[in-house]
Order: sequence, then structure tokens, then C-alpha cells
Amino acid sequence: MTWRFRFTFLILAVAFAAIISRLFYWQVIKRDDLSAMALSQYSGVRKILPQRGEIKTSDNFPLASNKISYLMFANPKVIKDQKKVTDTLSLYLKNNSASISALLALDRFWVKIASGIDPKTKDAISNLGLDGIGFEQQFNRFYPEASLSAHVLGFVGKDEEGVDKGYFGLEGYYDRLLKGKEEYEIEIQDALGRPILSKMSKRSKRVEGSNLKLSIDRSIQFLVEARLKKGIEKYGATSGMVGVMNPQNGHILAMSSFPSFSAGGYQDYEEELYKNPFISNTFEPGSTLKPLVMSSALDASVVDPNTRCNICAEPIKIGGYVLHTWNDKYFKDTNMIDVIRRSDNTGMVFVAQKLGVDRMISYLTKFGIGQLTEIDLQGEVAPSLKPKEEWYSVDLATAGFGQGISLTPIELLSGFSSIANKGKRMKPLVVTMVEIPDGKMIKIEPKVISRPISEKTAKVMTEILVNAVNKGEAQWTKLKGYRIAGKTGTASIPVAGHYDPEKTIASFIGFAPADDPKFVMLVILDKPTTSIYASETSAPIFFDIAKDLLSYYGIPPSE
Amino acid sequence: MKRHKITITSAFFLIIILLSIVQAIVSNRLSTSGIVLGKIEEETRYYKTENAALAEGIFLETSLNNIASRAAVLGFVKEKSPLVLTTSDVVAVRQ
Repeated sequence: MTWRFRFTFLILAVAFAAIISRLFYWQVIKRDDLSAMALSQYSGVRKILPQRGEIKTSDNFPLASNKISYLMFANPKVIKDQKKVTDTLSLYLKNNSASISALLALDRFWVKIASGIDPKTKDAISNLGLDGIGFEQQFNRFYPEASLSAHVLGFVGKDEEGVDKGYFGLEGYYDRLLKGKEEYEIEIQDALGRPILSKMSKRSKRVEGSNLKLSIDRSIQFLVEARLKKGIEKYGATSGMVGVMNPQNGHILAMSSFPSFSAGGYQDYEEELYKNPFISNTFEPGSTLKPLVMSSALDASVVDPNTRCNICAEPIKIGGYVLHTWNDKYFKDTNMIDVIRRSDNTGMVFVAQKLGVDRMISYLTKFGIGQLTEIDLQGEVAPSLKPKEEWYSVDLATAGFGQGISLTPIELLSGFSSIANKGKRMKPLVVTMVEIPDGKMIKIEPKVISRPISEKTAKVMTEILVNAVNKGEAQWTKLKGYRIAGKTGTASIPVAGHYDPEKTIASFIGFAPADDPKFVMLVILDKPTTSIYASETSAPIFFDIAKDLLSYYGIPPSE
Repeated sequence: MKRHKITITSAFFLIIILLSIVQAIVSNRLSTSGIVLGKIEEETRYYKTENAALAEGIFLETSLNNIASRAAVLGFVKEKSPLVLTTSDVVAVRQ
């Protein structure tokens, strides 16, 4: 009797252990797999894309915003009448019916039919109640001002995984801030697929993209673009660019280059046009560099405004080269004020030699030449200054009048702005404020990055530049009644070891009003054909824009 | 003793029945609130879409490109020489 009892107990115990171990296997070891299977049966995962942040001008108008569009997809396995669906879709989407038919013939559960469908078309198709056709909401970049400031904005393309990604300009530089973070949401559904508890759980939290507020003034940007386009046409230049900055805080008020592209349809333009030449192209500045060299020499006290040039009576021979003035006119014992007024190359050779290589490199570096300005735009370059050992006597001489030295327009604008700002060079800024998704505003403070010259030197240089505008080559186009400091620059273009005698880069740099500058502006025209001289091409554009800006700021004439 | 046992058993079953009723009510409410929430979400989405479409229209209408082209059509032209008002000296100083 006892053995039967024990045998039965053993059988039951083994069976019980087997059940327990099986339960342990399913409930502990295979828990995650079963949970996932169950979840897939009673829930659906929704991917919710964040809205990309807006890019707004200083008056809060969006230069880049988002518009809702739809991606249309199909499940070919549930479409019964493929011909009817194909014909209907091709009619609404204005698409080739053959391509839609080919997509619907695929042996898949999900195929993308089209994207970027506007809400009206989506509603019209939805109302037809076609089987197996669905839509997914998405956001497309939208540019209310069309191609205005395209080089500053950059554009939004796709990365290698087909995800939106910003390229060039602000879209590239601030991509991580603008794009935010997507969210995956699990929705519990009943047997018919209807939601029982929406947002049952979230696998990740969505973070909307941050908005950027720019220093770009929409009105100034608009008028600069209009004036630049007109100027390029009028003077037959191949391209041109303008940068306007507030010297007191480094805020970029406008930046424009032509030819340009449309950020909304970037695919239709050559890749070469995506680069912002104002920060990515280098050029030999010519005479627009003279104010930096002259103010360095004044600051180092190696010359003063009345110093006489004792080598300016004729062309200067250095290291086998003969250096001429731009018009081959020479002025014996000319002073520094007239050197700038006449844009006298021999006078600048005199100044450069007085300054010497060490001080030349040191001052140019303090002016930011040969370094990135760290402007908040993607694509900035900065060719380095040559090391001291590679500066020959002719290099020092030509650097005095801005040849043999390469820089970007933003480097020149940034360096020159220190003359307008009492000797202080500010970091150029395009974004002044970041609005994070919870509504908090983060202000980006202006920053002094160097003090190349003293306030006193800046004041003296300003007077020399005002004199250059009033009595120099470009005086015919100056604005009457206003004190404007500026300098023309007609730079030769290096071609295969020599300079092209017929093509130039014509530029004008200046600031106004000279005593309390509201803006500093650089205008550059590449290879103007009506005249090779800056005084007849870029200077009139500068003064045209300056006239509009002074009127815009409500500044009356002072003289 | 027996009566006491019956009372406890009855109370036990009563609690079970009550809890079951509560669960049924709560489940019923939850199951329908999902649909209601779904409808609210649908409505919110609709208004968001409407809002975005209207904002798009406003931005296009108020863009400087649009304003400038319409101004040109209406015949507005830019004043070439801005008028500047200069204040003359007061009589007492002029003499």
C-alpha cells in the first residue's frame, strides 16, 4: 500500500515539476518574446515626427517654416481592382500611370506611391475610399520669402537613410537643434483595430525642433538683394555679393550673393551654387585691405597721418619685381591721408616696410585674417597666413596693398568692422536667439574676439576713410550730407602665375554714419565688364544701398 | 459557529461580486474612452492641419516678395531722392 502511495505521489510530483518548469520557461525565459508577440496583436506602433524648427528674421517672420504634406502608401495585396486604382491615382497625382501600376503590382504589404501631397489632394483621394490606400502626415520645408537669403539658410535634404538633414548655412550649422527628436508611440487596439487606450506608452519622448531668431533684417536683406541683382546686371559682372553687419555687436543684418539658388527646389541647381561665397570663397582683396594695414601702422606708431612717403616718386623695384600704382601716377613726399585717398600702392609699400613682417603678421592676425571668424554658418573657410619664414620682401610689399594675400569676404568685413567699433572686433553672429520647445528663449550674447587697434587709432583711421570717400575716386557717387567712411578695392585676379590684366574683382567697404556707425558693408563684384574699377561699379552699389539704409534707420544728413 | 461561517462566506462572495461589477464598469468606461480620445485626437489633428494651412497662406501673402510685386502692379514706385526735413534756426537766434 505504501509503495503505491509513494509511486502515485512521485508521478504527481514529477508532473507538477514539469508544469512548473514549463511555466517558468514561458513566463520567465520567453517573457520578452511573448510580450512582443502579444503587443503586436493588440497594439500598433506609431512614429510621430517632430516639426523642424522655424528660422525667423529679426521681425519674427519665418524665412523657413513647415507645411503639412502627405506620403501616400498602398498595400497591393488588398487592392482588388488595380487598374481602377491606378487610373484614379494617376489622375489626381498627375503621375505616369505606368509607374503607379508597376508599384501596385509588387508582392509587398507596403509600397510608397508618392510624397509631398498637399492636404486638398489628400482629402480628395481619401473621400474616394479606395481600398489599400493610406496616408502618413509629414512636414515639408516651406520658404515664404522664396529664395531670399538662400545662401544664409542652406537647405534640407535627405541623408543616406532618407531622413531629413540640413545642409549648408543655418540648416547645416544648427541641424541638431532644428530637427528635434522623433517619438514612437504604442496604441492599444481592440479586435477591429480601433484604439482602446491611446498613447498607452511611449518608447521615446518627442522633442520638437528649436526655432532660431536671426539678426537678419528682412527689409535690409530684401533691398540688398534687389540692389545687388540690379548692380550685377548693370555692370555686367559674372557674380556679386554683399554683406551688411552691425559693427557694435557683430550681428549680420544682410548677406546676399548672386547667382543663388532656391532652397525649396535645391535639386534643380548645380551643387556649386549651394556654397555661400561670402564665407566659402577666397579672393585677393586689393585696396580694401589698405585700411587694415594703414591702421596697423598707425597703431604701432611707425607712421602718423602726416608722415611723408620718401619712396613714392616712382615705381618701386623689389626682388626683381616692379610695383606700380593703379594709374601709374606718382606723388613725391605724399602723406598717409593722401596715400589712402589716392589708393597709392607705392605709399602702402612704404607703410608695409615701416611695419615689418612680424608686426604685419601680428596685426593681420588680430584683425582675424587667416582665421575662421566662427560665424554660425556651415561652410566657412579661412586660408592661413604664410609662416614668417616664407615672407619675402616682395610679399610684404604687395600685402601692403592687398595683393598676394587671400581671404574670405567675411574675414575682411569682420576685420574692417573693428575700425567702426572703436578698435574692437566682434564675433559675427547670424542667430541672436534660440527658442527651445518649452518656450524658453536662449539669447546669444555678442562677443568681443579681439582688439586689434586702439580707440584713438580707429578714430584717426575713420577720418582718413571719410576723406577718401569725400575726395577719392568714388566721390562722384557719394551721398551728400552724410559722413561715410569707406575704401574702394580693384583687385587683380591671379591666373596661372600672373595677374589677368583685363579682369578684376571690384569691391567697396565702408561704414555709416562715420561717427556712430549703424552698419558696415562690403560690396564685391566679380569681373565687372562696363568698367574694371571699383569706383565705377561696386561703389555706386554701396552708396545706393547705404542711401536706403540711412533712410530705413531714419538718420538725417549731418552736413 | 456555523452561522458565523456562513456570514463570512457570504461577505466574501459579496466582495467578489462587487469588485467584479466595479471592474466591469471601469473596463467599460476605459474601452469607450479610447474611442472618445481617438476622436478628440482626430479633431485636434484636423485643426492643427487647418491652422498650418492658414499660417502658410498668411506667410505667403505677407512676404516682401509678394508685397513688392503687388505694389509694382498697383503702380507704386520708389522715391528716388528721400525728402529730408531740416529744422531752421529759431527767430531769436537767426537775427
